[in-house]
Parts: sequence; C-alpha cells; structure tokens
Amino acid sequence: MGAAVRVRGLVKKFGNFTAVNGLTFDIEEGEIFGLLGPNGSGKSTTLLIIATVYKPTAGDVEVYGHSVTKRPDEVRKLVGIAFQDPKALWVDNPYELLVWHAMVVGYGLLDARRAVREIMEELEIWEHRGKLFSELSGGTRKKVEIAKLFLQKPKVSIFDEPTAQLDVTTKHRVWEMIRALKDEGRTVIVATNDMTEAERLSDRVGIIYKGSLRALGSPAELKDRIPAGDVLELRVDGALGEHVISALARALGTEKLNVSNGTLKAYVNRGEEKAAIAIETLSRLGVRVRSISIKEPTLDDVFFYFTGAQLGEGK
Amino acid sequence: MSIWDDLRALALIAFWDVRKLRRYTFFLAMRFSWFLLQVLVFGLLVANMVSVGNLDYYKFYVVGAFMAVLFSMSMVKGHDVVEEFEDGLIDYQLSLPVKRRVLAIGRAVGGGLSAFLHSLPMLIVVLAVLGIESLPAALALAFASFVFASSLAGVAMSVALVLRSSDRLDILMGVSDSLLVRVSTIFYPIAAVSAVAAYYYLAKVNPLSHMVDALRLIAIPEVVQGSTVSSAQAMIAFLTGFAVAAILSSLVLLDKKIEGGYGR
Ligand SMILES: Nc1ncnc2c1ncn2[C@@H]1O[C@H](COP(=O)(O)OP(=O)(O)OP(=O)(O)O)[C@@H](O)[C@H]1O
Ligand SMILES: [Mg+2]
Repeated sequence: MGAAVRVRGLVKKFGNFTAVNGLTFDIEEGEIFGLLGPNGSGKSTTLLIIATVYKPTAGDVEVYGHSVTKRPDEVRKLVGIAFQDPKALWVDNPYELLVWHAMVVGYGLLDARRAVREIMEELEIWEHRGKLFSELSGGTRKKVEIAKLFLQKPKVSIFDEPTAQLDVTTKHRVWEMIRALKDEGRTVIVATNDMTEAERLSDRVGIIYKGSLRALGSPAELKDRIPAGDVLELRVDGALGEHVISALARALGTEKLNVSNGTLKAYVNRGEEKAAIAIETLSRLGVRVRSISIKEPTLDDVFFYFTGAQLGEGK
Repeated sequence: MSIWDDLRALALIAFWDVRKLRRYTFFLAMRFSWFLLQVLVFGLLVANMVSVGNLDYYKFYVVGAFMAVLFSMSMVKGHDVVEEFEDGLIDYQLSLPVKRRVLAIGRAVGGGLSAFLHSLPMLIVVLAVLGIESLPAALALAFASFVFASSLAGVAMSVALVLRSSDRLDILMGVSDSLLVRVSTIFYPIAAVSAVAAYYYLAKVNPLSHMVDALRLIAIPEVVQGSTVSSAQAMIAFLTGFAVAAILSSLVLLDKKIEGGYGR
C-alpha cells in the first residue's frame, strides 16, 4: 500500500509567527495516523492545510497524488475533516445541519435522513435533534461535529481531537467507529493530546513540537526509542550477591540496576526479550526467580521524552 | 464530476442562506413597517412637495424605496459572512467537497435569493401600490430583483471576506449605504441631478441607478420612458457586465486569496 497523504516541507506562517515549520512525512493508505503534540504545536494547522482550508506558506501536501495547492478541488473530494471546535450557527438545529451536510457530500434526501438518524442514534444525540445549537452541551456539539465525518466517510478522514469533550463510554464507542472506518479501508488521521486515544487507535503516531516533527513510528517503536525505557522488576529468593548483579548487568546490557528489599529493578530496552535473558542468567547462577514483571513506558513517557525532555535538555 | 453534480451542489450551497430566514423575523418586521411608512406616508408627502417636469414622482419614489430595501437586504449578507467567519463556518464550508467556484456562485445566488425573499413582502406592496396586474411584468420584476440582489450580495460577501471584521464592515456599509443610494437615481431622477456635473456622472456609473431604472422600466414604463439613466439596451449591457464582474471577482478571491482562520 502506498501513501495516501504526502506532506513535503510544509510551512505555515501567520504573520511573523511560524506555526508549522517544515514538516515532511507520509500517511499510509489504510492506517490510522495519530498526530500528537502539546497545545499550539501546529496539529490543527497541519490538518487544516490537508483539508484545503488553509493554504501552505511553503511546501505542499499531496492527497492521492493531488496537490493541495494546485488541485484543491480534487483533494476536497477525498478528504473530510471534523473540526476541533464544532462548526454550526447558533440557530442551527443539529438534524437539519447534518441532513444538509449529508446531502452536500452526496446523499439523496431520503438516504440523508435515514443515515443521519442512524448516526445520531448511534452517538445518542437523537433526542437533541430539534434543539438550537446554542442550547447543546459541549459534548453533544462535539458529537454533532464528528457525526458529519461518519456520514461523509471520505477516503481520508481527519478528526481533530475527536473525543476531547466526551465521556468515557462515548469515547470507546467513537474509537470503535473510527476503527470501523479503517476496517473499511479508509485512511484516518487523528490529532490528539490524549495518550490513551493515540495508543489505542493509532497504527503510527507523529509527534510534533513547535511545528516540527520530533518522532514518527508505531507506539511500540517509539517506546523502544526511549533509552532504557522499560523497567524489569524481579523478585528472587535469598540475597543477591555482587557477582550476580554484575553478571545480570552484562547479560542485559544495562548499567541501570538497583536492588532494594529483595526486588531488583533493571532499566532496559525491549523488556520482553530482556526478561527471558534475566531469568536464564539468574537460573544459571542458581538464583530462583519468584516473580517478574515488565513495566513498559507509557506513551506519556514517549511524549515527554520527545517534547518536554527536549525542552529542558535541548537535545 | 458532471455539471449536474455541480448544479446540485450549487443549489445546496444556495440553500444555506435561505434556511437562515427564520432568524430574521424581527428585523424583517421592522424593515417592513418602515417600508410601509415610507411608501404610504413619506412618499406621498414628498410627491406633493416636489415636481420634476411632468414625472409622476410618487410612482418613481415607490420603486426607488424598494430598490433601497433590496440593496440593504443584500448588504446584510456581507454581515452574515463576517459572522460566519468569526464562528468558523467559512472554514467549514471551505472544507466541503465542493468546487470553490461552485461555492462562490452558490453563496452569491443564495445570498441574492434570501435578500430577494426578504424583500418580497415589499415587492408585493409595490405591485399593489402601483396597481400592476400584468403577470409577466410582476414576474419580470421579481426575476430582475433576484438577479440584482445576487450581484449585490456577491459583492457584499466578497468585501466582507476581504475585510473580515464586523467593525470595518459596519463603517463601510454605513458609508456605502448613504453614498451609493444617494448618488444614484434611486430617489432623484437623472434629469434632476444633471444640474450638478459630478453628481450626474457618479449617478450615471452607479450600478444602483441602472438597477433601479431597469426596475422602473418594467414596472412603470409610461412614467419613466425616456428619462432613465440610459437606454434599456445600455442598462442591460451595463448590468450584465456588473454581474459578471461581481462573480468573477468573487471567484478569483475565493479561489486564490481566501483561506480559513478568522484569528481562530
Ligand atoms: N488563524 C490563525 N491566526 C494566527 N495564529 C494562528 C492561527 N491558527 C493557529 N495559529 C497559531 O499557530 C499555532 C499552532 O496552532 P494549532 O491550532 O495548529 O495548534 P494545535 O497543535 O492544534 O494546538 P491545540 O492542542 O491547542 O489544539 C498556535 O500558536 C496558534 O496560536
Ligand atoms: Mg488543535
């Protein structure tokens, strides 16, 4: 499978301020791509350029080979976006707005009504269909916004913080719905600050910070890239001698070991492999392992490492 | 995409403005009362005070008052667009799978249609006051009003997209309302303004003069025959040119210049 979206040297300036500063990456066809970054890092700006709402200052984006600068009309047929801030007039009622949207994206009137009803029921907002938009709760507005994209089902679906205001149950439902889009062969881009969301949903994530790409890969790959990010915890019978500890350090290839109260902690990469090595090494030395656990770094750790950490250390 | 898909999209985009009709009920009621007052009281008073040759000034005035309404209803569309910018709705529309050209024309037509619908009650008053019974004349008036409203709304929306600020737009609208309406043949016959040369030439090139006199030629030909701003053919040519220029400029604008993000 090729790239659905190619971002090349993308720059976006607002006046003197550079919001996106030379982004280059591909989004593969059929994947869920998570765009991660702290507030103001340029996620929404990037997504809005892909959706042809903003024009790049420099660089380009191609969606299935169509450039957003040269053939935006073609790009727009393939891309849809659910905005971070729900878009509606305060006098709109959700049902009419969604039916209008459905028709603009190609449904006939009757199909539009049926599909809107289905999606509103699925998102549990059918009862709010006749209210004014200004009367809706934040979460309900957000549901109306993402409903647009589930109706539209474009080849490339862009969600800008889709579950930001949703309760836990709804979050899980929306994640399932997003995964269903992928299962139908569509490409999905999700901008988020929510690590659980990124981790559960994304095949790959790109971490951006101050408009630049800091890391790109699957969540597992990125975790592995944090030096000694996994923690092995071993409980053993009896005391651990110096020779055992240094043998273990050699076998695991790490200096970072510490022992307290019969628990040994080793900071390593690729925890699962190292756990096997640790057990083997210890039993060869006649030490009985009672329990072992691996604590992986969370995506939070990854996020801090690639954004926060570099803030302080300037690496 | 076939031409039918484009037309379908155009109709849907145009419907965007029309469906907002209900938020204007109070505004429309005010406008309508004011219009009745103009036509039934002020118009009669003024017509009794002035005489321009043998022109029936009252009938002349009634069509002018309607044109002034049509103009300001079309200008309101500019406000709508600025408001939509502020609410991010222009961003939303820019993201829809619709060609930019279709979006531009659709919004202009929708703006024109809704300005026309807003003015429709006044048009009916005009028909009644002038005693127009011929259906072709009424339909021609309605159609011409709709076309004029679309070009004016297109211009207002384009200006709004460039200004992107309700304050600046308010000022500009205030000025254009007083200037454009005054320096035209909306209330003053071209013969009457010929005394002031600058005024005369400005009124001659003002599209509103051509629009209002075109409406008069349809509604009250016996009154204005020979005293319009130009000949019928010249007015049609001028107004067609104006509509085309309005549409082209908004197309270029939307295609090349406009992007989303009202300060966000
Ligand atoms: N239309 C605009 N005009 C001026 N500055 C803008 C505009 N849009 C975004 N910015 C600025 O660009 C930067 C990036 O904004 P963007 O919305 O892309 O960030 P984000 O990563 O989506 O943040 P968040 O997590 O808060 O949504 C911010 O500093 C923002 O203030
Ligand atoms: Mg954002």
